[in-house]
Amino acid sequence: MIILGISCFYHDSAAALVKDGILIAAAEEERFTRKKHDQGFPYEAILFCLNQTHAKISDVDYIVFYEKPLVKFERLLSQHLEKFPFSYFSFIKAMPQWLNEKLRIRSIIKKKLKYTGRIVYLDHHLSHAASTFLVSPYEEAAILTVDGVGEWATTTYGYGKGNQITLEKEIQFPHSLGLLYSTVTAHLGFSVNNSEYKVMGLSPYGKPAYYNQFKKLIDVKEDGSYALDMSYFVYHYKMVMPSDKFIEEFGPIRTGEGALEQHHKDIAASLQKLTEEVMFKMINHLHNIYKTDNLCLAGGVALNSVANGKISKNTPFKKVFIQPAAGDSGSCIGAAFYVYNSILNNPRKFVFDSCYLGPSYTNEYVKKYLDENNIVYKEFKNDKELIDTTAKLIHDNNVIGWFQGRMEWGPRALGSRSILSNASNPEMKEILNTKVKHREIFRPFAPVITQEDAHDYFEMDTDAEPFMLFVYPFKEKVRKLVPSVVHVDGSGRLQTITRRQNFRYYSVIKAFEKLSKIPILVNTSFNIRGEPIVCIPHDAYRCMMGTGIDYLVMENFLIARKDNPKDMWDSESIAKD
Amino acid sequence: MFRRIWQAIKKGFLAFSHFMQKVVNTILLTIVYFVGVGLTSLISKLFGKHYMELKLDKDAKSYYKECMSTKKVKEEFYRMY
Repeated sequence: MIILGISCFYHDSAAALVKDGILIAAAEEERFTRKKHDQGFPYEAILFCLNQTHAKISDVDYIVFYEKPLVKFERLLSQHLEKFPFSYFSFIKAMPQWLNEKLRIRSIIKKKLKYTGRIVYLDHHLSHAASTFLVSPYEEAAILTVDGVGEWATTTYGYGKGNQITLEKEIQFPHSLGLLYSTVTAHLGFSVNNSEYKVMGLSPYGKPAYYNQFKKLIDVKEDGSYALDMSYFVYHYKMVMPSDKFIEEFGPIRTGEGALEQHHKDIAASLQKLTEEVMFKMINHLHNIYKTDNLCLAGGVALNSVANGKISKNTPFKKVFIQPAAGDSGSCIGAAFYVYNSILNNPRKFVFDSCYLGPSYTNEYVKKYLDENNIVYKEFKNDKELIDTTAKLIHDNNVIGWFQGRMEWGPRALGSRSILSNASNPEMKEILNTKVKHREIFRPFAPVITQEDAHDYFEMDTDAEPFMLFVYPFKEKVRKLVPSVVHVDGSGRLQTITRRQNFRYYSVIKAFEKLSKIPILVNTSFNIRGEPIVCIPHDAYRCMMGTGIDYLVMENFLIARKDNPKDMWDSESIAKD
Repeated sequence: MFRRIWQAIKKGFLAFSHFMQKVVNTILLTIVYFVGVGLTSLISKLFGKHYMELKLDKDAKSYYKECMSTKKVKEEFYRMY
């Protein structure tokens, strides 16, 4: 049985294919179209999923859409009915897309894919809940989903047992923790649905001096349920998010180019504190009800790795599972599994333990690409040469583009399409920013560490953190050893890796450890600023030649930037936020 | 030469059609907004009906509501609503 899950037409379109209860392939559309957060119909991602399974569209038994379009449309109309005539411009802007695409999802699926089979529509937050619980390692767990908004729900909770999910309660739009976070993101001059993680990264630089002001914005009950004081927000009827009252309280909206001042940092710190407080209240309430040790989280707010890292200290839950694409893109996985497991009542047989679900390219493909484009390269004789050479290059403070195997699923680069460098070099953060990333100086770089060494370097509650979804403090004594990946508060958003998960990636870290005595590398996403992470060999080569990446290790081939001067260009000329 | 001129004319017509599409859309949607949405909204407000809960309820014990997502029969999953 083949089930295709689709999420699209809001942001981060994606597709996932489940065959006989096993997740075979999943990818975000942006990686193929090269449009960051592409919201269009995920045609390329669907083609990839079908090709990966050697299936035709006629072999697909069910296509599952991740939300109920008409219920969402009802909510949209309710907003306009409630706020008439102030919602005029928002109405004029939103309606064409609704009439052309969002309400015509059935005919679009049929027309674009030539599909004549069954189409299922799930509630948005049910797709989120299924995307975490049904692929979790737990037989039973409490479930919490928190994001901007789906149809009406912005937060839901319930429990999962076996192959069934029961969502019991919800908080409805316009009251949304996700949209509160996005409002502050917009107020601080960052892009909404894109840069919320920057606010999180900024927060350790500030003090929660605005915490009491934030408490005026939200009424939180003992059970963690909350409502926003909507006089501070206009997102429910305008194309902007904070109201004039919000601006009076927190100061003018920062423009993207404006300096980040201390009060901006304090706002970020206050918001992060409040977000954690509300999350922990909700999670504690869940434990009171369900009395289980296991928690499954999903929704955009579940990507708040700083809050995630504090769950076990602030709540009784002992185990937390979050799927790496916890936001809307990941809902397509939940949609497909919910049909297979819960609606069709098949037992669960898949646990999400590897994020490598995207396309891969053979050595023959890469060699052909390099030869056809007259690119100077060296071919490694074997794995040992590849691993030792890469480790030595990193140890010599080179910046390495690392392109190996199947592309990662989710927003993080986790060792297939990564940029790797020397974490022990105190100047590496500046080198990476100057050569490649050109990003805000306050943003930290993330460490990757071999799993067996993680407890020597981090004060962490679990043994493994393979998806970079939890921030933990570095142990005091090791902070000076890896200065380029220690954030200002002494923390790091780590990824742990084992030999079984990714042999070459793991082995490079181990080889680097032999040279430096440190089993940690800097791991950052392999992309040009403002573009999606690279997908195909050409993207990787283009990215290296447009930035200051020194070497590209692409499957069995080593390509040096300096050996190919004819293809050099400046990616900053096209870089966006 | 003729082909290039023809391509330029086609491009121009395409841009003009997009522009006209926007103008017509805006006019039609404006009518829908002020007549359809506007009248419904005004009548609803006269009768005290609200479409969203915008106010805080400090006395309430909880803001949680019943979630109906998983309380559906199988046929409902085939619907867009």
